[in-house]
Amino acid sequence: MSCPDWSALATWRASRDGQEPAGWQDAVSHLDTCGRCRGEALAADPTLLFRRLPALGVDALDRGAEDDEVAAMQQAVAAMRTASRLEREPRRSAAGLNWKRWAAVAAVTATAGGLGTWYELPARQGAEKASSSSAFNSPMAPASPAVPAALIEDFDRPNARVQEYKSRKGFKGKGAAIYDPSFDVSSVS
Amino acid sequence: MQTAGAESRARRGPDFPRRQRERMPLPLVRPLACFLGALLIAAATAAQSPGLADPDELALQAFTFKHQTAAAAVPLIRPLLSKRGGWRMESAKTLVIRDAAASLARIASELRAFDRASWPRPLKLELFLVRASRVPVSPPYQHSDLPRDLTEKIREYAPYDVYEVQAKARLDSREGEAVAYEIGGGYEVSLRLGAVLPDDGIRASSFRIVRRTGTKGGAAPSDIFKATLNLVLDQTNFLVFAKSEASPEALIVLVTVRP
Repeated sequence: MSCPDWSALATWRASRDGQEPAGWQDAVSHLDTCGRCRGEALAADPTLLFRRLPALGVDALDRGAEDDEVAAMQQAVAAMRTASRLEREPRRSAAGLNWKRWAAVAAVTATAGGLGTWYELPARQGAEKASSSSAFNSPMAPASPAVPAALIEDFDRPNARVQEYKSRKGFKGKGAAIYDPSFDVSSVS
Repeated sequence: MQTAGAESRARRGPDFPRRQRERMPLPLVRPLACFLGALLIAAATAAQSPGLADPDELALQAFTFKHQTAAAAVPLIRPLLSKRGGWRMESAKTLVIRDAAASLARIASELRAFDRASWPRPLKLELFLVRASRVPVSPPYQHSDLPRDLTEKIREYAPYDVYEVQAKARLDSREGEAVAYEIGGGYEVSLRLGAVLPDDGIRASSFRIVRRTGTKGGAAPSDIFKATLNLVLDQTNFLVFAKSEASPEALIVLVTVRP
């Protein structure tokens, strides 16, 4: 394939809110192997830079949680099979059947309860399964923390002590002291 | 001699044993039902246990923007990612982020504030670099280059005798912009302003104070401080740097972001 007109392709995409024009896949495949195209393509659409980054492997993210889900599903299926088998058995007595029904319902309910919990635990698990869906504008997205954030975050100095000051009357700002024997804050001579 | 059971059977008629057998469950059903009931209770208890959620667990979250593009959001979220975090652009409008729950929560709040038509909002950044010191002589001497009310407030938290302004700057900036400011004395302050949050908070990510002339030869800059600051808009925020509480001198950095 010869070098495509990246400017035209990018303009087409931009005018249609990210939809891909005809031949787009061929063009980006060509880009992966063509050094001459790279400059023009990135100038036309800088987001193409991220195409070469390794994609995240969803399946490798949380193997433990996946195993839990499989086990829970197997239990649910087993319980439903048991319930189904009990239903098919000849009704020797109405009372006995009630016990069996009750036991089967209890088993299914217990398993289903576990399943529901697993999905509810981290709402983000749902997002993980559907990574291309929008969680941003949905009410499921995590809300802002109600508690005011501490002044300092992500501070990584093992020998330092951080003392955050509490706001006092008349002062609504934030303050903190950071003590570290290795600080070089002496006067400049 | 008749047992109580036999007497009862006799009283209720000959067909009682058969009916009794019909009404009673099979021997194993009742224990099984009890076991399953216990299982149900255990499952319900486990469902309510908050300890099962792992805040360090990595998760993916997708953000689809209405007003902004995913590419424009990347510089904003990059400093907020943890060391295990990562991101990927799903489309021009969708950004997928992988990180721990705590990081995702603060990134989400930042991106909510970012995704608006009026982005970026102009801001004024005020930086003061103040040297504070104690005077070990008598009579006591006090002096401050800072405004009086501010001096009084700072002195409540960081009680020093002298506050000398080493450098100050008022910079016109805007949300999302990276700012670097070289101050006399070899100090350099750099940061990237985030989005103004609904509660008037604003993050200054990659907030870094470097001293270049502190080391011999002045070649190697030494990091004094590097962190993310959660500032309050239109309020004075301050950081005191000292070797210890008893240290005779300290460096105070005052940061104010005004709309």
